[in-house]
Amino acid sequence: MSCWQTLGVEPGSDQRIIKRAYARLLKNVHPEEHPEDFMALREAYELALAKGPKASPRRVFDTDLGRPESEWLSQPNSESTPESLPMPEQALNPEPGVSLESQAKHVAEREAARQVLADGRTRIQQEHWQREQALREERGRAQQHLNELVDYGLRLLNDPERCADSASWEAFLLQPELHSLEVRLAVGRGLLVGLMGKLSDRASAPIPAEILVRLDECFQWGADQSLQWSLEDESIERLSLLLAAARESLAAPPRKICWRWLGQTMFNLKGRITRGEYLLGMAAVLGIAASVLRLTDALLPSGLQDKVWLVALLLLVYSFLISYMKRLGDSGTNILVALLVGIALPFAFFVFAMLGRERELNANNPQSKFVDLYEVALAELFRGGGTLSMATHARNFIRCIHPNLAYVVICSWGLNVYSMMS
Amino acid sequence: MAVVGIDLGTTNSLVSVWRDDASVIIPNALGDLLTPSVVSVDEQGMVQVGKSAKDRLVTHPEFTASQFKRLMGSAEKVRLGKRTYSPEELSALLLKQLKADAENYLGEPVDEAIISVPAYFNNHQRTATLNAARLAGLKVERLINEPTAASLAYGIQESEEERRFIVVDLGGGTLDVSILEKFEDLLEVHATSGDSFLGGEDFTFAMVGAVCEQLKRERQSLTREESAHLYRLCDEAKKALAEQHEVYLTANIGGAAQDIRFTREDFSACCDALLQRIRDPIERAVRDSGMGREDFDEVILVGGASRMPLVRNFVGRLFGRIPSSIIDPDLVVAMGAAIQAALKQRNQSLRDTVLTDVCPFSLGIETAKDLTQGHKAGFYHVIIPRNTVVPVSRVDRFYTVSDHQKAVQLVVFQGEQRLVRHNIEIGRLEVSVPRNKAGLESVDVRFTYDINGVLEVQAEVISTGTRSHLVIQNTTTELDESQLARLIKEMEKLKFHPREHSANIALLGEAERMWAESLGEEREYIEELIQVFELVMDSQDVRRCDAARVELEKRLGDIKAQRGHW
Repeated sequence: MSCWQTLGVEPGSDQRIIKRAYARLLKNVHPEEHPEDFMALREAYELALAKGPKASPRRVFDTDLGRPESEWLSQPNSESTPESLPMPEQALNPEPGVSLESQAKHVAEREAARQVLADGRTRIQQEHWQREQALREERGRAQQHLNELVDYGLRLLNDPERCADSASWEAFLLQPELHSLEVRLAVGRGLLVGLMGKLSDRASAPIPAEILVRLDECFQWGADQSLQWSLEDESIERLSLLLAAARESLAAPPRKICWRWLGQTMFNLKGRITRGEYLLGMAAVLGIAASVLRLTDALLPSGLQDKVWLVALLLLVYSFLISYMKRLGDSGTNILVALLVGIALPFAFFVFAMLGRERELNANNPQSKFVDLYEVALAELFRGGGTLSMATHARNFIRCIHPNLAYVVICSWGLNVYSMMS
Repeated sequence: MAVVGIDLGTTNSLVSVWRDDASVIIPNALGDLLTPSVVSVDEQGMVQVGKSAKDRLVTHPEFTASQFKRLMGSAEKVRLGKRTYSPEELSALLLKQLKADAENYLGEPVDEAIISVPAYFNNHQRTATLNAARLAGLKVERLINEPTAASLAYGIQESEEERRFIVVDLGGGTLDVSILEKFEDLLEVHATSGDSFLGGEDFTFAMVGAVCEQLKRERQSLTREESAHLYRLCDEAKKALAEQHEVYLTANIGGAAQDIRFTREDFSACCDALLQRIRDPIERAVRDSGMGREDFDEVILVGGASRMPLVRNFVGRLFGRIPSSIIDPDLVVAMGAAIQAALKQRNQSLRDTVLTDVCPFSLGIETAKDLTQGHKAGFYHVIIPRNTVVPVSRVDRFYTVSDHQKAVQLVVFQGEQRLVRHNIEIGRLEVSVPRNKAGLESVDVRFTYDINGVLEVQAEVISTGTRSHLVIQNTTTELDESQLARLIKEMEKLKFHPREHSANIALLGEAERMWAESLGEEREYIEELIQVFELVMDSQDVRRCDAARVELEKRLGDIKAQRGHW
C-alpha cells in the first residue's frame, strides 16, 4: 500500500491536502490507543510530504532568493487575492419577473460593482507588488550584509595572526546582527565551510582550542543534525573529534598548584567526581612501582624507595579521607573520620618511629621479635621525649614499616574499592 | 475519581483540574494559587510546605529545602535537621500537600495525576519525578512536557485553524523551547529543546553575586541565614525591576543595615551570560523544526521568569517581534496539565483534539567506526533522532568488527554528542552471535519508543534468528518495590500541620522572618507581636486565633508599608 493510499489522497497532492487527510485520519488512529496504526500513518504522512510538491516556503535567505524573479512576482499571495472578495450574488442572478427597468438598473449596478471590483483588484495588485518590491529590496540588503559578515569571518579565519587572537573573534561574534537566528545560522554555515577547508590544508596554522570551542558554542556545529546532509561523513567525524579534543583540552587546563587551590580541592566536598578515586589509583601504581623497586633494591639508592613509599602512603590516607567524605556526604561522619585519622595517624607515626629507633639499635640482631620491639617502643614513649630529631624519626618510621607496607597499601586499597563498589 | 494536573516547579508548584469545560487552578489552604516549592521539616518532624516554609528559609535555613527540583535524578541529598532527604522525598512531600489541597477543594479523593516536567528532562530526571509521585501515593501514568502543556492551554483557546507557534518556557530552574503547529484539531509538536539547568533562580543568583560585590563581601563568607536573607531580597528586587527602573534594598548583613541601589542596567550587566545561554536551545529548536523565523505566527513566553523585561526583550530581539503571554505565565503550564488529564480521560468537550509529541533526545547505541587506522569505538550511532514524533519504531543493522567475535554489547545512550562518553547511558544488552569473520555477522537493532517514554530495545541476530530484548522504562530503574515501601513508611512518620492552622503558621513564619531581618526597636516590636500571637494560639480558641491573626496581619502590614519594600 503506497503512502497515498494510506492517506486516501491523490498521488502528488499538495501539502495542505496531505495534512488535512492526516489530521482527519488521526482522530481514528489515536497515538495512545493504536500506536501501531499511528506509526504506519505517520510514516505514510512523512513520506507523502517528502514526495509531494513543496509548498512555497517562507524562508528568507536561502530558498526565496534562489527562485527566479518572474516566478514569485507572477504568483500573488493567495491570502490577499481578490477572488476572496465577496461577489454581490444578487446582482449576478436577477430574480425572474422583475421589470425591464429594474433589470437595466441591475445591469448598471452590476457594471458599477464590477468596475469597483476591478479597481480594487488592480489596487490590491499594485499594493501587493509594492510590498513585494520593498520586501525584495530588504532581502537583497540583508543578503548582501550577510555576505559581508561571512566574508569578514572567513578573512579572520584565514588571517594567521588575527585567527589566534580571541579579542578580534569576540568583536566579530558580538556584532548585533548575529543576534538574529537566521543570520547566525547562515554565517555559521559559511564559516564552517571555510574551517573545513582550512583543516584539510595542512600548511595553515592551527586554530587555538579556546577559539574553536567558542565558535562551536556560538554556532552550535557539534549539535547540528542537519549538518549531516551538507557535509561528508568523514569531515563531520573529523570535526567532531577536533571539537571534542579542543573541549577536553580546555576542560583540564594545566593548573598551578597553589595553597588556595589545594585547600579547595581537599576540602570542597561538593565536587562532582572523585579525585579520591584517581588518587587511589595513583597510590596503587606507586605501591606497585615501589614493590618492583624493592625487588631491584640493589640497583637504586635506598633513599628514593623510601620517598616513593612515603608519597604512596600519604596519597592513600588522603584518598581514603576524601572518598569516604564524598560517599557519605555528611558532615558529622566527616568530622568523625577526620578526627579518627587525625588522632590515630600521629600516634601510629610515633609508635612506628619508636619501633624504627629500636630497629636501628638492634640492626645487628635480625631475630628480634615484633612484640619485643613494641614493648621497647612503649617504654620509650612513657619515658617521655626522645632525643632524635624529626627527620630521623621519619626515616626510622619508613625503614621500619616499608617491608610490610606493600601488603598494607594493597589490601586497604582493595578494601576501599570494594566498599565503594558495594 | 478526579484526575488532577500538577505543575511541579522549581520555585512554585500548582495543582489544577478540568471542571465545567475549563481548567481550574486549585487554591491552597491560604487561598493562593501558587504554592512555593519549599519544604521545611522542624525538630518535631512536622512538615511545612509552601509559603510558611519559604519564610523559614530565612529563619531556619538548616531545616528547610528549596529548589530541589534541580537535584532530581542525581544522587545528591539534602540535609534537614537530623535526617537527609533525597530530592524525590522532598518532591513527594510537596506533592502530598498539593494532593491534600486538591482533595479538600474537590471533596473527593485524588489518586491520579498528570505531572508536567521540563521537556528537556532526561530519563533519570523523569524517573525521579515518577518515583516522587509514587511516594506521595499518586498514580502517574503520564508525564507531560511543560511547553507542550503550555501550548495545549494556548491551543485549546486558539480559534484559528492553522497556527504555528514557538513556546519559550523559562521557569524557576529550567528552560524549555518547543515549536508547535495547530492544524484543525491536531496539535503537533515539531521540535523541543532546552536547558534543564537554567532558570529564573539563576538570574537571582547572579544578582546576589553582584550585590555581594557591592557590599564588598565574599559570597562564601556569608552565613546561611545571611545568604538566605540576601537571596530573598534579591528575588523581591528582581520582581520589582520588572516594573520599576531601579530598586533600593536594605541588607542586614553582619549586624548592620546597608542600603544598596540596583538599576536595570546593573541587572542586565550581571545576567548577560545567562541570556546568551537562552539563545542556544532556541536556535537548536528552530533549526530542527526546519522553519524560519517568519514561519511563526506567534512567539509565546511561558514561566514566571519570562516576566523579566530583560528576557522578553532578548527573545523579542531574536525573533524580531513582540512575544505574547496572554495567559498568566505562572499558571499556563498547570492549566495545560489539567487539559491533558481531561484528554486522557477522553473528556467529551475535548474529544476531538489530538496531540502528538516528540522525543526530546536522540536515542542510539555505541558503535565502532572504521577509521583509517583500524576500528575505534565510542561513537554514538543515533537510531531515533531527536524530535521524532512518538510513538516510533526504528531499526538499524550493525555488523561485527572483529574475527571470531562471540557477542555484541549494545549500550543504549541518550543524548546529542557524537562521542558516547558525552551522552547518558540508559541501558545495556548483550547479544551472543556465532563466531565468524568480522563483518559477516550482523544484528538488527530495533528501538521502539512509546508515548509514555518507555524505550524497548529488540535485537535480532540475522544468521540465527535469535531475538533478545530489553525494556528501559522510566519507572523501574532505581527504586524497587521493597525500597519504595520502606520510604513510604518512613515518610508516614512525618506529620503535616492540620489544615485549619496553616494560615496561622504561615503568618507566624512571616513574622519570624521579618523579625530576623529587622534590627533595633522594630525587632523588639515584632518580637512582642509574635509572643502575643503565640499565647493566643496556645489557647486553641479558634475565634480568638482568627481575630489575633487579622490583627497581626494588619500590624505587620503597617511595618511593611513603613519600610516601603519587603
